[in-house]
Amino acid sequence: MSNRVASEPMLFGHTNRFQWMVCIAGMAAFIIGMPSGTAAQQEPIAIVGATIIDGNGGPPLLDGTILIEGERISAVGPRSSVGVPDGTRVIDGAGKYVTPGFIDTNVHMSLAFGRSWTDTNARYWPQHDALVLQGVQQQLKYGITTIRDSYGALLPMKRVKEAIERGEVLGPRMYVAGNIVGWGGPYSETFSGIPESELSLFEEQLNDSITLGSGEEWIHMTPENLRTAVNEYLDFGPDFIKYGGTHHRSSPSPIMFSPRAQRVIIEETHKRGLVVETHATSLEGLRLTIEAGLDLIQHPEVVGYRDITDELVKMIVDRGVVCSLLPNRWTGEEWQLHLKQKREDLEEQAKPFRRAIPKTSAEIRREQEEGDQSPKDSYRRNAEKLIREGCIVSVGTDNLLWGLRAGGAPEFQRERDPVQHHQEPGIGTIIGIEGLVELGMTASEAIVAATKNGAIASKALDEYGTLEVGKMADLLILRADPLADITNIRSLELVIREGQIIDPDILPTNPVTEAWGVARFNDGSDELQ
Amino acid sequence: MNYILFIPKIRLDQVLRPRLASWVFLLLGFQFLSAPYPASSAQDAEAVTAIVGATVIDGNGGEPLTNATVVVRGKRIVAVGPSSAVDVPSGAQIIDATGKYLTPGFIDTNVHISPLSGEMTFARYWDRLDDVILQGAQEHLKYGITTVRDSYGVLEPLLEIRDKIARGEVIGPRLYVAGNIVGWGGTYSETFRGIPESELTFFQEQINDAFTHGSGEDWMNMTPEELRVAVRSYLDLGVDFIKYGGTTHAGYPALIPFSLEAQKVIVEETHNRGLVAETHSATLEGLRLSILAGIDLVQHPRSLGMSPITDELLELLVDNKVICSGLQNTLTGKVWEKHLRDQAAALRRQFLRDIEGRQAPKTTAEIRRDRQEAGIVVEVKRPNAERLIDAGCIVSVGTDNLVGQAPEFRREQKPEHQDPGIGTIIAIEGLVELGMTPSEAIVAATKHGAMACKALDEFGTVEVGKLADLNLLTANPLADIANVRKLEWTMKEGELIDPNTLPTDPIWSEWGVAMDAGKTPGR
Repeated sequence: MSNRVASEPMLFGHTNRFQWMVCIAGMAAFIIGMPSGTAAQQEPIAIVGATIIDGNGGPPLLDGTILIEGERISAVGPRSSVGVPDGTRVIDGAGKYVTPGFIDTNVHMSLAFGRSWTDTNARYWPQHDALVLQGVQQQLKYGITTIRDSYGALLPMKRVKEAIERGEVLGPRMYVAGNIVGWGGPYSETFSGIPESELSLFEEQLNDSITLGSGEEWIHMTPENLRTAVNEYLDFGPDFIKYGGTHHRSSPSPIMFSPRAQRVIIEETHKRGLVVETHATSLEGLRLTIEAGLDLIQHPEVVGYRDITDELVKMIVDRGVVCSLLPNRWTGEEWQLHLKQKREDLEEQAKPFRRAIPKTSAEIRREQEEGDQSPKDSYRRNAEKLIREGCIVSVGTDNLLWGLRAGGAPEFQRERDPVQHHQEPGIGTIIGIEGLVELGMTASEAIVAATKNGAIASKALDEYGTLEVGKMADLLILRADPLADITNIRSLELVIREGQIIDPDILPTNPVTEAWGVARFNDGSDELQ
Repeated sequence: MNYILFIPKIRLDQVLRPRLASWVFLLLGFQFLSAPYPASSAQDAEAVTAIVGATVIDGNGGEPLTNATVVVRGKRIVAVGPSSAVDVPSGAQIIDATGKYLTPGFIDTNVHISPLSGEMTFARYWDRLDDVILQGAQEHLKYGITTVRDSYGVLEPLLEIRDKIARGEVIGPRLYVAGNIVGWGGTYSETFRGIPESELTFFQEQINDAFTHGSGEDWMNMTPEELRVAVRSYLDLGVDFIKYGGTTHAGYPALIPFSLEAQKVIVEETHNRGLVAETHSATLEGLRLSILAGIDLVQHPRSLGMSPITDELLELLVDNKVICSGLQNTLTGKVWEKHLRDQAAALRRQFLRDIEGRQAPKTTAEIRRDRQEAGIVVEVKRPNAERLIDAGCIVSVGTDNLVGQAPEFRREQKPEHQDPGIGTIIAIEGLVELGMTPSEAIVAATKHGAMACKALDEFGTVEVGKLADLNLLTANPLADIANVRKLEWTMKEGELIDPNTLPTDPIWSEWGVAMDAGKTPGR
């Protein structure tokens, strides 16, 4: 039995006229005023004489030509054998490198977080659509032409997705899941360990907006009632389903749904031809989801602070389950910081322990986690193992609208993230692709993961993901060779999205929030000084 | 003995057996060295008692035997029959029980006689928990409860009192001890109370360890093979049965700590030692998995979040002969009347609030709260309890009686329906309110309790060869179940006990005693 609550409109129930005006202005702005045009190019486009890295992982095609007609690729081949019709807009590809558009299989581009984001939620909820657009355009700015948003506010995201599809605004291809079904929303026990008894009215409403009837009541249902509830949620029109295999917490992480309840969720989702995935952060919890028949696992390297077992890896490989890793989190500057912190903690622990009362098990656990049994070390080892054993790896990032910072919107953040933006929209995905190389892939394999495998994750490889005739023309033109050095994916010159040329510099077109450290609460007291 | 400071070092992926064994030997050695209590009114092995002229209600549920004689030699019953057919051995102590009613001793399959929460209680009493436990145990015996199963508490002092009672050093009911609810992290933990480990004080961490003894939330991270090793280590501590978290503690939302395979490992290893495996399982799907894993008993299966119990589950419980240890004391009698009053008041309050007319519709959280406040939980739980009885499940009397916080820290008096001893009596009466006959209620309180201990061959009914755990009532409980309150004496393993002498050395006295009273009775 689901509780369908008309959640979206009620948040506007008591907004005053001024807020309504801001809201309408914001929505009008992004529907009307996009500066760079909204229709696909009418003329064919040809990129001539470039190095073409098609996403299949083979050797690149030197001195190649790609011809794009309408939304799709109509020819790919050596320059000498691809004819360019009259009236084609020709882009000189000499010294340039063409790849498929990148795909991030795990982002969160809406307001779906609690705790330290409450001020952000209170202020920006009425501008939700514009915020989502800002976030997804930030992704596109870095060449991410397809995103899968695996947790967030379904209805605003669908509105933005549909505006993009109608050509009214620029943006990546979007897949949205909405709630992680079974979890109770940003301010819930299963998502953030917050008991329902402590919530304000706003927090309860926000939970309902995110869950849309797919909250914690699902784990108390009979399989029959669950089947009905799953279908009611599917009727809202998500593009895929993500369910809580376990609690959100990494450890301890109890299981949410019994095996047969999981089979119900997967069955009903597959009947609609949609992908089903999970968050499952314990060994046994993960095993149950794989046995239930799911298509993709988000961050399978995170299994309750444990090393993933050979048995589980084999199951994943044998069944072709897609592994959407978080390579941006266990590599690069973020990783160096972790190592530094660990060294300091171990030095601290090496000092003699002088208390007569022996260590409690909680103290021992904390020491292990800060020292030689750090969970992050296990996540990195697991990621390396999944790569090594030949799992289908895609690039997920857990990118958030303003990165992983307490506070949310920039005016509510005390400090800039000390690490270079490893979970910010766009750049986080770039750091993730680079991270795959640090975790053991070649640059070529990393590009396959970021393109082809991303399309496999959405069961849409026939539509996009590689540079092949008949597929959608989502591609990037880079100034330097990413196969020589993966960081050259940062040398982005142009994005082409379903045949439309986009200059990354114009994105995002209508950002809602200021840069960090600029806007602040101002009661007018500055004038008094 | 310092029960809170005793903390074995436990590391994930490491089995601590050698060090643990040395602690266990140390404990045992300490007990051998300490001076035994002088034997009080313990009878020597050959003392004979004959109870003559009573109506015997033997616990099997059939017709009572009028004008009967029961002969007890030493600890055991050696004869039961009509007085005309049973010879009273010469030299036997004869008890005239004419006009009175003899039943087996009652059995409570779910108590908590060590403190469970109340940090101040732990702070003040951590080195006297054994005294607190003994008082709680004896308060049960005072009402004729001759066997109790403590399904969650501080392990070491519980084991110590269990053993002292078994050796005859102190008077008390037969005590079965589980210790931790394995898989849960202790009284100040996520799984038990929703408290994150990062927020704990040093003392709270120590208390958790005194509960878990290595059987805490880490178990959820294990593979079934690792879990097997961990379960064996915990069993080596000498517990009498295993209770595991089939779900987490909270009613809503309730998650599942262990996969079916992991649960089967826990149940298997427990059964390998001939012990009972039981669970706390508060969702429909969670309870189903636990039954499939092979549990012997489920605690309070009427509590399934806000869900009515399904026909499928009732069938599984009956077919698998799972014992249903119910909380009948919380759904009947005076507390039921209070629930009904509270429900009426809540409905009125909600009605008045709703006609004020807030524009925004109710949130799902508000709807849930309204349902709970308006007694839907009770309205679901009581029908669940009635259906369990109606479906023919093997129902035993489990109360969740608790000693709770020390009386000096209580603002209000502890409610009677979960007080050690009287709570069990209220539960037995409650069974009749829920649909049983008095005869069936007595069977539930005796025979089924012994089945819950897998010890029906040893006690639970009044039969030749069994241990002499008996209650003598001055009025007929089959005529009116409330007559279980009319206890004249109780007998445990042949030893006659005057209820008025219990508890023998109370450590907690009256409720609401002032903080600085400094009174420590019995010391």
